[in-house]
Amino acid sequence: MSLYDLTLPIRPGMLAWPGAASPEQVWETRLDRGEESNSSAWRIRSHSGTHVDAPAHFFNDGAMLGDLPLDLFVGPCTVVQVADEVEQIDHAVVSSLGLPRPRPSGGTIDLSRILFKTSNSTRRLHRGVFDPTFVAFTPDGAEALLDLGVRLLGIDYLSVDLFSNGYYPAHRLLLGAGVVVLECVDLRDVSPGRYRLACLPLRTQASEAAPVRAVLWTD
Amino acid sequence: MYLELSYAVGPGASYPDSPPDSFQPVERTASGDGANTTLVHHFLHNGTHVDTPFHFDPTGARIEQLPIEAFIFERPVFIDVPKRPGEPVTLDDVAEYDLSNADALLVRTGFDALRESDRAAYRVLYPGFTLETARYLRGLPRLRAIAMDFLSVDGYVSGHRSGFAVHHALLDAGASPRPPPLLVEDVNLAPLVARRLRRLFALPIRFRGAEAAPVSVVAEVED
Repeated sequence: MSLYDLTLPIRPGMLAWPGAASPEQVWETRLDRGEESNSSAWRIRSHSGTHVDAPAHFFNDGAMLGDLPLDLFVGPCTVVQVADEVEQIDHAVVSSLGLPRPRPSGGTIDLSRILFKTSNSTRRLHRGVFDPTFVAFTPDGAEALLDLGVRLLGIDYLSVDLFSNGYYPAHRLLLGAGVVVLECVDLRDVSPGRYRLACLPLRTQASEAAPVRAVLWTD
Repeated sequence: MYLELSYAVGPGASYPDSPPDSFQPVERTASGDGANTTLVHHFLHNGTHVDTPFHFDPTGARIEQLPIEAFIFERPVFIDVPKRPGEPVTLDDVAEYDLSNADALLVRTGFDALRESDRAAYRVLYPGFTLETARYLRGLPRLRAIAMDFLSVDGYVSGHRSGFAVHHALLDAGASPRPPPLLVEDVNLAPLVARRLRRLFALPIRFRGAEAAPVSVVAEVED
């Protein structure tokens, strides 16, 4: 079994969306203060670090994380890589990947979970400062992925929407179709190919998003 | 197929005197904002969580220092040992099972049934392990995690009286030549009854420097 942890550690000052609150740790008890144990509480934005967005992130009546079936978060997963020159993932870029289209009769590979490795992995994700030139999807790129039957879509930066997209059209298209969005996956050490994914969110009783622990493996 | 064994984080059956969690809306589409976002305040020992050695041992490992392999188990063993309120899990309960190859032990006592229906009993009269059980488990050659359907490895009263002796026996580096196991507390193990367990995932949220973390526990079972 080879294993890859795709999860960024959550810490104060970590990479975050402009203006978003940084994670804070508060020690409730500490052994070095003579207390019985170390125990801490955390104050985090639901979109901190490696996290998933549920449809309720943009839609009032959308599914919250707790409404989504576990099977969505565990199972076969494809990692694809786009060239470092690619600045945005549009319809043409998706088409150039040659991903098989779903067929009603089955017999094709399962594309329901797909993660995109871009130049973000080496140039942006591990820098402490927000970089608005990050690679993400145009609206027609998101539509092309919906046509392929994607149900969980991952990207190696903070958003599936290009910074220049404005009012989050890729999020709206994807979440509106019930797709779960996985953001800030660390794919540095992962080569394109077929894996199994477990991307398990902090389960809260009502939340539009949550940090996850995301793991790829091959048996 | 996969079964989820974590409880949802939210108001509920936490350890007595633990700070409460809160969910504070930051943006709401219903109020005209572009998206819904939330600020989560979470005490790491509320709800289904994993304790690392640093919880009780100042030199022990913190959650982000453990490699991802530490959270995946290929030889998990589930045992069902029904307990009444106030009755601990004893050496006899566990010694009758062959645990020599187990990398994770999941102990169900039936307390899951009390989590909502008798919260006082769930929070204060949960079983815990006796000290000799803890020492026995710590000596098992392959055991890397102990998961349980109750709030803490130390009984509430006995833990306070003994200075949390069971936690120390399980987590302190000096207590055994064996590395300390992860402790996965407040897990819903009822879905595993009459199932054949293949693999266990207990994937914690990766808080840097933390002594514990909320954990998604998922069992892969035969269909």
